[in-house]
Amino acid sequence: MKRLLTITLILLSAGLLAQSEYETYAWNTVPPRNQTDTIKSVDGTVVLLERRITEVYVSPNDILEEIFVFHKKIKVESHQAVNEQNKIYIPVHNVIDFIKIEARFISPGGKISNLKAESIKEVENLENKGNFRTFVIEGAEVGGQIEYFYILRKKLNPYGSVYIQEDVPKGDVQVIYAYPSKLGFLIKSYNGFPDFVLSSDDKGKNYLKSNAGYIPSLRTEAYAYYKANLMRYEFTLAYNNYVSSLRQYSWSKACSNLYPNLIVLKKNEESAVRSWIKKLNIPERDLSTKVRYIENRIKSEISISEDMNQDLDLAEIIKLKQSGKHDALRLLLAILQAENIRFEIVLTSDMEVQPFDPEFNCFNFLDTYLVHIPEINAYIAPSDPLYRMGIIPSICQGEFALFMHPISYNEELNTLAYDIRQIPSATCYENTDTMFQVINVDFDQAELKVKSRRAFYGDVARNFQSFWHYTDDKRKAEILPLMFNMGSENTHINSYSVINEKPENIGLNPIIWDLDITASALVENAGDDIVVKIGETIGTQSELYQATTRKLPIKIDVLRNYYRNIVFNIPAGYKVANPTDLNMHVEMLNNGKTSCIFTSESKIVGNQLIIISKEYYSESEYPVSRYEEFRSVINAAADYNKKTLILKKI
Amino acid sequence: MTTMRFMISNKPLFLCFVKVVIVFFCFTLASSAQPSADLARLLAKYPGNFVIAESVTRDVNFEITRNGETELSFSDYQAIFVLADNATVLSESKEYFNSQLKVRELEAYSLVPIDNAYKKQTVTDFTKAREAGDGVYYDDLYTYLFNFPSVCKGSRLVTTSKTVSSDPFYPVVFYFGGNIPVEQAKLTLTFPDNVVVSHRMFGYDTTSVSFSKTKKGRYNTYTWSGSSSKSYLADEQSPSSRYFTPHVIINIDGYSYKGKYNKILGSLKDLYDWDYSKITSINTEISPEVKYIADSITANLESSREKVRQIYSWVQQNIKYVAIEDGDNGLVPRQASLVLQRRYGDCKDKSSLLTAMIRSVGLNSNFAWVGTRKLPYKYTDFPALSNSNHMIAVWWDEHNKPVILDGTTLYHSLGEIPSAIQGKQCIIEQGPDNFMLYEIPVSKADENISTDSVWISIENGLLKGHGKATFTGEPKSEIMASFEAIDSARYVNILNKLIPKASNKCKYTTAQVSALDNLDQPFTITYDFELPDYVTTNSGSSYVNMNIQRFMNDSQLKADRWIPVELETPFINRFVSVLQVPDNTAIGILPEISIFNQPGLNFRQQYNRKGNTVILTSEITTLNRSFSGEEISRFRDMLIALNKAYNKSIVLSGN
Repeated sequence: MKRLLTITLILLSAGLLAQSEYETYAWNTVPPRNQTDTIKSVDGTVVLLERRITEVYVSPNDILEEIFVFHKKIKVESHQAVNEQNKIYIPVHNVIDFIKIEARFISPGGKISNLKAESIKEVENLENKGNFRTFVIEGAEVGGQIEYFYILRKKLNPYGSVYIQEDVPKGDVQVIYAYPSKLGFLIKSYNGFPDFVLSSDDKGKNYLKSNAGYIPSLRTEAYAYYKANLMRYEFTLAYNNYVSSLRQYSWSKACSNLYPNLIVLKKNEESAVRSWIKKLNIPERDLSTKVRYIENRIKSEISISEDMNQDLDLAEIIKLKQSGKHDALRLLLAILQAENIRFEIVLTSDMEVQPFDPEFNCFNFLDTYLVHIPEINAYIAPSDPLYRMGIIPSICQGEFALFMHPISYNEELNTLAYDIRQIPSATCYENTDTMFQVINVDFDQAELKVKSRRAFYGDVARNFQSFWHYTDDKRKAEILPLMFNMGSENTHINSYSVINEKPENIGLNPIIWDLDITASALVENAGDDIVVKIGETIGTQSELYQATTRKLPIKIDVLRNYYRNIVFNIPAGYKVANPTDLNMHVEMLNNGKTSCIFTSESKIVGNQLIIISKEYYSESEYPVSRYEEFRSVINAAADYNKKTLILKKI
Repeated sequence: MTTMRFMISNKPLFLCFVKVVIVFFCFTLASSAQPSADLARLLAKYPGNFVIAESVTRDVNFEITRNGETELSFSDYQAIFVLADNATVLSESKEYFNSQLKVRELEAYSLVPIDNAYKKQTVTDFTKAREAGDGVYYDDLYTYLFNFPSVCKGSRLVTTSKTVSSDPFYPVVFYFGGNIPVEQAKLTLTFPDNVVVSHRMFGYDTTSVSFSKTKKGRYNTYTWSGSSSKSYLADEQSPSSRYFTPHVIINIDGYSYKGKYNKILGSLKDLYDWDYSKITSINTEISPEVKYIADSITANLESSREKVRQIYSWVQQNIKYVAIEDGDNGLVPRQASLVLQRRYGDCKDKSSLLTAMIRSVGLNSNFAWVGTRKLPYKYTDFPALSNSNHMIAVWWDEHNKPVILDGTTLYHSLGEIPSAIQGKQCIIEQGPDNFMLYEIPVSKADENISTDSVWISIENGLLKGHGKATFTGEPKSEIMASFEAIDSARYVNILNKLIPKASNKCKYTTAQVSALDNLDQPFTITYDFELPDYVTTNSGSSYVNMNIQRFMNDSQLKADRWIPVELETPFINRFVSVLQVPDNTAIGILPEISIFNQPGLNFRQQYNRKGNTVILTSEITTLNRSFSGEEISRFRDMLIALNKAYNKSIVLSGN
């Protein structure tokens, strides 16, 4: 997406070419600002200094470029820490010139080992992520400090995001942006990273600076969007008075850049789309069926690949049945237009990483496409073959987004009009998992024989509908006992059948499984009595048993609802001694309403024990302060796993 | 473990969820059939498969040029046939190439069924990329990424390439199976009369591969041809797929040129000569820095063993492991002085420093080449460069016996050998003309003991207690590494993973471990814990299963398992559970003794009452580390017996 938006900045008239202030950066050019001696390492690592300097200037060719300095000093106190920190990779993307790379190791005794220039290697297109320079720190030992800096001359990076916080603590973090006063940058800090402060000198240069004396380590936690919660900043070039006084890199600029890229078709593209539409035989049915049909044909026939570097036009895409991600969007839009189906292009960000900030007008959050069909209020993820209309990827649900639709002022003047709105979220009832289970005890084998019908709806179903059709039987046989496990031990799927498993059912029909299962580790002998681990028959539930101080707010990616109906046939000659042990009710209230809940109720009817369990999570976010309440509901389901029935001889 | 890559190989066919990852081939199109007939035939033959390899072919030509140079040229062809709808996921593809191969041609195309004829659509865009393998810092392996057009049911995805290598030492390795069925796999090798070659099949089902020889003029052609309807996919606790996937390895033994025979690689001695040539210029003199550090850490030590112990430990701890694959640099150890200065290196570099340091204190040490257990090969069966992927050092002890030193491990003490090389042959260098072939011993069960003892009681329905776990040998080195990586405050958080108890609700409240720098003693963890919701109480009775640790309870062997079961090492696993029973409590019938006794596999579990305690002792012993054929079902029987024994509770009744 972002490559569609990026434009090269060529200046019309150059300003004065200023001497770079940081081109000659050295170990001690910028004095440390903060004392870091007292910061305690985490798992053997503490970053003592991390400095980023971006100095923007006008090149002799009247192009905006930048000097970028990165300087880091890390104390390593364990073997693992040395192993993790001693390999450095420098991305070469947009680099015009490597001005300097220096690295050294300072031993606990103060001995300094400098990196030799010949030890630096170049790696071409590593993992298809572009070129890198790389080196290993020499002389590193436990207790010392790894320190390196590099100075790069680069093409201007006009906008982006920088994550500061990691799973290791940091002291003395400094960020400096220096640029001619004819430019205007906007930088916004998130999650507690200190705000940037603007200053100017008398030579026409502006500085935006932020520094933090201590940034604690932050680790991943369950039910949280880790990266979205890390301290970071977003920056954008907002004004370039060398060329215009108008706002740069704004949403309205995005609209004017995107219109020709996404909406306007070449003649050959138009005719290719028209003739493909003829072949598609789009059914003359209701709008929803029609749109689903179009989406399904595109996704089942055209390979949509992130790795496609080629720019193909729509005619070639239709012919070769392959496309990059944004071209898949273009194709969908072209067909929708040809079929006179009204749409909005929705641009947002991955909320797991970088939630859309509706108050920061910039390109930074314009990363992920959806297409909205207003008439039926439905969303399509146009370039993700794992989704179909009806299911919005969880990373977009509830996100703010740039909603754009084509408008035409006259034949000459067409563009996209926009507004910022929120993408809707699915309720838990849309993502339901139901279980109807009948259980018999086989005393001879000390096993449970289980007939189970499971129906998954919405996103729960999508998880399987998106890949089941291209899974070989052998692999399916491996996956099934994991999916329908009854405790981790010895679940055998004797036979199964499934319907609605193909991707065209995503967002439309539930996937329904009928299973014949043997669970061979759930019957225990206890003298004359029998202990049945009935709780395990609902499958291993996720848990938050580990008691740690919660740091991240709670985030549930997909809200879910579970209904379980279990019939346990009590073996002849036995009675269930403890049926009420299965009764559970754990609930979290929010504003007086049930927010999430786990319940289980059992009753004996004739020779059957009938258990009904309900569980749902209706809200996706809670602050850290509500963690214990949330945890108790999650753990209630896992506690149910521990429930046992005592069968006593009558 | 580190890597020294020696082969010119097709990769075993590998299909993962999102990508088909395969290698290079060439061939003329065999099929003139109609697409619908092809599809119907293959669907009938391979039910339940989404995709198969229809044809995997490699033609190899070995030639001596007029000026006496050798050239190996490879033509590779591979056709994947798609058997299901919605197959667009197969479009993304990649080809791997070793740095010793020059790529002359690379083509990929789809044969798309249109109007019951195949239409060719060619890939026009290839992206070259580097990949870093697991734990490898720098790798000269590279790939071409591309996307097949028009992938649909009934389409054939074809990749062809032509590559050459001028180095005749690297063996040709060809796999006749992968993790998807292979309809036809064929290898041909053509070479002139003046060339001598040797070859050997490896893996299972090798009789399914036919071999024939033909001759045309002065050229010989060897042909191997096979097919495999089954997929060769590694399973839980199985050896690497090389052990069972049928494959052939071919060496060029030598050739005559102008009346003179030029040896290449036809014997163990040839292999040694090649290996030795990579170390001749290494450490010809011991640098003062190396000597200084060796002297300083062995000062005041009298015995040779103690000196070597210190040196070994110092290199393990102070030279960081960094794997670099870089052409010939991937084969030649660096000078000890450079390794010492850099403080990092791979297996060869660490061996270089180890041998130099040991020699510098007047003791005898040599390099040795070995293949890790990932490789199924023995030097005595078929010597080839593909046998080795690792380098170690050897110290000749007081009795002139070789002691293996693997510098890449952190938590094996002198005399302990990483499981990854146990049982493998190694070639120990002894000068330009001599070497020793040495079989690295496999550790015994009683050298790899894990013991967990718990003292438990039940208070108000809550089971709690304290425990002590002790580890020796391989389990020790694995467990110690987990603790080194984290702060001591977090030890309690990792115990659920390292010494899991019967419930995931187990809460470890304290944890202390023995010294992490003392490799010569067993490693111990002492801890306190609680197991909430573990005991079921009913009408004054408590039902408690004393198997709080259930070793291997989640291991399963499928009924049709044919791949051998492979364990890290033989081992003994002991568990003792001592339950304190309150006064005035009746103890119900104790479960009977459980015994499983089969060759190489023993399990015994017994309950005893002693005063106010019930004691459960459980011990599992495996005397071997590999179980194949009939032994697999015995292993399965033991797992079943174990689970039966684990599923027993005792009843405590209050008076």
